[in-house]
Amino acid sequence: MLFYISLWISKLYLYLFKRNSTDDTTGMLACKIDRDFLKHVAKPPTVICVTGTNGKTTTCNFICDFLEKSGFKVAANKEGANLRPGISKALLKTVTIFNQSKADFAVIEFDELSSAELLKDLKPQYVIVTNLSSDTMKRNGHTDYVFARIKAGLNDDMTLILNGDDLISCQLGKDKNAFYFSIKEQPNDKTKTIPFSKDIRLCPVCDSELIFDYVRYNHIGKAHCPKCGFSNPVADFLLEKIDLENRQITINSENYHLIDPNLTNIYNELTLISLLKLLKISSIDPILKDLKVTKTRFDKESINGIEIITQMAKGQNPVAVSRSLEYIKEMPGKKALIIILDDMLDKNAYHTTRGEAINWIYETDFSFLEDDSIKEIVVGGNNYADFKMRFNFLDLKDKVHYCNEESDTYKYLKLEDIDKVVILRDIYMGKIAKEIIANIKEMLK
Amino acid sequence: MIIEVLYPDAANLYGCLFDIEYLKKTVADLEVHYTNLDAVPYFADNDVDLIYLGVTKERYQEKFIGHLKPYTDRLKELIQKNVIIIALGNSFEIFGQKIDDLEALGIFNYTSQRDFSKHHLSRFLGRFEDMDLIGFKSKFSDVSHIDEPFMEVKKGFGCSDDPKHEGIRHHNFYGTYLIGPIFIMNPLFYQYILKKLDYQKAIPYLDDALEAYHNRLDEFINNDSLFK
Repeated sequence: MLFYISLWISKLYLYLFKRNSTDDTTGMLACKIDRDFLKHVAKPPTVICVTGTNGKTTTCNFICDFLEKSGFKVAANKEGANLRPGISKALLKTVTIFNQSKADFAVIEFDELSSAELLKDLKPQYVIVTNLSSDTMKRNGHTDYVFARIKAGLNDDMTLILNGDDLISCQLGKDKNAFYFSIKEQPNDKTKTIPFSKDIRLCPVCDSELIFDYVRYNHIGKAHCPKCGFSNPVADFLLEKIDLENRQITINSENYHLIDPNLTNIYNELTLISLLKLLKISSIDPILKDLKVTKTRFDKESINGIEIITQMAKGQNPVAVSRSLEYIKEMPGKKALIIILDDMLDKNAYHTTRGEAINWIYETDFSFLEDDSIKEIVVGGNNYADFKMRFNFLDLKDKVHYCNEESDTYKYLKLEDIDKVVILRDIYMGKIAKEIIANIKEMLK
Repeated sequence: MIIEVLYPDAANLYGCLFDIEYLKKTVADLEVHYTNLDAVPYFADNDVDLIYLGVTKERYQEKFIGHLKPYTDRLKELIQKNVIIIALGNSFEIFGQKIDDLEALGIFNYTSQRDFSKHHLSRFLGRFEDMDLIGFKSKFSDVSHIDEPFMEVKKGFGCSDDPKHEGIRHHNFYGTYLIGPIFIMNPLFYQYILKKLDYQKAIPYLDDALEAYHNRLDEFINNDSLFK
């Protein structure tokens, strides 16, 4: 009975106050009235849960958008609220007042540290782990810890979809019903470990040093142990070819439309297609053409021939920021770059970001900034001096400026002979990024 | 100057090895020996000026202990000879008596207890001699029975049985739960260590390191909410 009281009150609250809101107060209310709300609320016939260090929100959005465009009704926490309240709200929205699910699928992003308690209640048929790497230290410690927390939530009833190129998360599939996706060796892959790929250097079986056959980024790639033979699993879904010119990828000899050329998003799309194949959905390609990366993560506009691009990266996440920097480096043309990555959550909590554990900037590969195509760089925020110290270990000549206020960064741009202005921002820096863009537009008029 | 970095293949978390990059930028004739888990430590048969052991994952602690066990007496000798040893984060636990039930090197008296249900993350401000040290802790364990603490706690957390003190210092052995590049984040401590190493020349980027250090130190001193 408590559950139904919780359901009805929460639904009324949602209808009256939160119809257009993206916050998760409705879910908080539901869980406050019935602590087991998530366990009791009806689930659709197929529940797909997604976690991992990077790419889980975009992967969820791809899956959800695809299924909706295919005519299915989907319960999803698309805004990325991946704890109990956000997930509860997503399911609550798609059940009747008699707790019958109206959805065909639930696509749920879940927090990796809450795996055991969330998966027990969600009972998913499919669990996807995009990858595991060093992440925001304040929550995740190190990869061994996160791995153990995810593993604690897995059981034999679940089908796992895992990244075969990730030597860490792929081990979750040991003795489980697991399928692996992988991207075949590509021309841009590196031949040796880069100094920053330190999340796994030793064999997880015998602790011998792994030999990397190729490294795509961080520790993503292919490696083998010369002593015990440990290596990447055999891929069930192998992306054989990336044709950027024709925006096409080939997976298990079938061609698909490429949604976005960013390597991270190619992995996200490969994950989507692997799932769709397991779900035995046959008509894939026509709908892929309608899918897009969410605008908040990547956006661009043009003014007087100069592109203004916003690239979002999870701040304090060394791999996410390194990936974004490499992507920016690879963008064609001459670029001016604004970096605003201080943790706004810290700023809101403590009125300063100088309490932020800044170690992550020493785990991030900033060497992409040395590229000649990046003509000027402005770093803004409370922690500017930490970046200044970090950048002493790079060869940036005199192309970088630092300032204390993010909103002042545009003032240091020269914009001489520039094709693009790129703003690399933290998740919670959206409002400030918009202010900066408005000021840059004024400068370009 | 000769330094040895122990286990860069496994003791490398949170950017700590950038301290070595800073040393390389600082000392022109620096000789660095990197010793992986499958190699004989350089210090076993050679003199070194500094040994650096960074933060690791807990499962490697046992490997480190097994690897260093045959050289326990040599380590004791080097400590007595005032060789500088820096051990960061959970790595310094291996020099104590025990980590849970695991027998450690037994060079010092302390013991450590792990609890993987609690991820401890905190900011830290401590006093050592005439300088303030700042930093962060990220750990799943705690240490007790330290005879000679490294720092006096000004803000943040100390040892479980002695909350007013943090880490261990014996001769020039410095063990602390602070993580990341401790030299870069604490330029005064870096100067102190370099002085002990008889390095007299200028330190590169010292102004930048001091600017970042003082910015953070001011916030740590003036913002108690950071330590709640």
